Amino acid sequence: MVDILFIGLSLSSILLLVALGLAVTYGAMGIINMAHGEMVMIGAYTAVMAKIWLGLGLIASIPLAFAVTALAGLAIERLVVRRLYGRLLDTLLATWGIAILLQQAIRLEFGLSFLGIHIAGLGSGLQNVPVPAALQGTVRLLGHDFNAYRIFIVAMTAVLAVATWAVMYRTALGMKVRAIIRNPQMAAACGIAVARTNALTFALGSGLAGVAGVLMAGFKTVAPDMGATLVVDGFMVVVTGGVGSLLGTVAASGLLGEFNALVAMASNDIIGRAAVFAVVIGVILLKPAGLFTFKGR
Amino acid sequence: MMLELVNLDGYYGRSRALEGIDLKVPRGEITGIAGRNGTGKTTLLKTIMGLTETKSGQLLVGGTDYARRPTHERARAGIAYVPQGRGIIPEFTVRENILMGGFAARSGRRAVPDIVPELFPYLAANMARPGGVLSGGQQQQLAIARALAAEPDIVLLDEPNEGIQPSIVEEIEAVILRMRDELGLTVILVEQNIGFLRRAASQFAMLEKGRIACGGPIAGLTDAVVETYMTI
Repeated sequence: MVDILFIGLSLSSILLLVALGLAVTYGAMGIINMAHGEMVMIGAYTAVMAKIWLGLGLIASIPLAFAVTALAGLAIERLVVRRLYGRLLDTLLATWGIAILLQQAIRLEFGLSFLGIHIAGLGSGLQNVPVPAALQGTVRLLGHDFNAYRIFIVAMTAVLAVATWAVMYRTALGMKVRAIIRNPQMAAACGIAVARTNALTFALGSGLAGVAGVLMAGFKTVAPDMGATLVVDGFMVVVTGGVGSLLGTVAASGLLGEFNALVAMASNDIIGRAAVFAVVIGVILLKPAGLFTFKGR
Repeated sequence: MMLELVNLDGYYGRSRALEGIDLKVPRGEITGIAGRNGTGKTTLLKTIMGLTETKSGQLLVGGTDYARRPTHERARAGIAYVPQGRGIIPEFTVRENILMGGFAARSGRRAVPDIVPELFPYLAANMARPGGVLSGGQQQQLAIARALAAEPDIVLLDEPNEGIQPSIVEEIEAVILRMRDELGLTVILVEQNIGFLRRAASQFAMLEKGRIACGGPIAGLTDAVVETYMTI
């Protein structure tokens, strides 16, 4: 039973990794960023390339991937999203277009070995990043064996979740972001540079996705289309938890991950995933605003 | 002259709500803005704050034209805004709502102004309560405290006494006078209460259909003027 719960916890942390960035861009800024999954993918490729070009290991490429994807996010915000604030469906379509563009760009650059194009160390576009020796194998705790890398992911996710909370609720930037989402005009009248703050926030959300990508590269095949399913999972978590509630996002990822593991163990993975979708649909039907919602009048 | 509007207009999208506004706002005095509903009083304050679009005219703050600058730069130039409806963030605590004003403070200091506990003892005693649970009058006090946290030169007040219990109206009026006398602030006050305007303001402007119909020293706000422009 402990093993199953641990697998659930590990699934939860992966969900949360992707959802954290979305909690910032969608939850706090109200943008449906369909390219969020591609930020995860770019983060994963950053780890791949950092290994090949710079000889950097997985852990060392975490800050690098954060920087790369934060800059990519900044570029997307400055070039496209900036013009679309308050137009939810338009941001969805535009960022979806960006997502396809990025996928194809990566595929063109890294994925065409069968056409005779070959970059040293790269083959079909599908890549793996070796896990550091210290995180291989298992750790024995309280009479149970746990996969060391999964423990690392759970711990990193916890650190990132706390860091995100601290940025949103304990810093001036977080206060600006929360003020803008509630009343952009009043925020500006209080001296907050709304456009600049939005750009920074979008970059932060994208950077979080990049870190998620590096961590995923350690156990998942890195592929140009790896982000497409992740972004769906991410939105599922944010919506179930309640848009705008970081606590809700954490709770929803925990709930869905554990539920997935329990059902999968009792039947199989496919049923487990279907059951997760059923829970999400149930929550949205019964509590359209999600599990945790804004309080106050 | 603290603030000068020269032939300024204001648009909401494509529709023009203000036209050819010329207004000189003297330093350290209260300038009253009056007029019937829908004549552009709130729009005038929003236009000064940069919350409408301006196509022509000048907005001179200490000699610099801000008519095409974004709202946050105007705030940082020393203009603070207390809007109609007060614009309190419900989830923010009283303290956070006040500190929010500090983003405009030119000293870079984000703090609750020293004078706040004295002006508004209720706020000082309830710093950790969410802004959303305060009464209308308390929220009005909070909005003024937030404006003061910006360390402004000029404060725009949009009907600060609207929808507030009479006991607090007197307090707010006293605070407005103290802002002028003790803090040396320049105040632009949109107000329906002619009695208070006559007591407090040195200048006035009467709006009609998005233009200034008449204005000047407050002595010019005669019963005849009020009769013509404010009686429905």
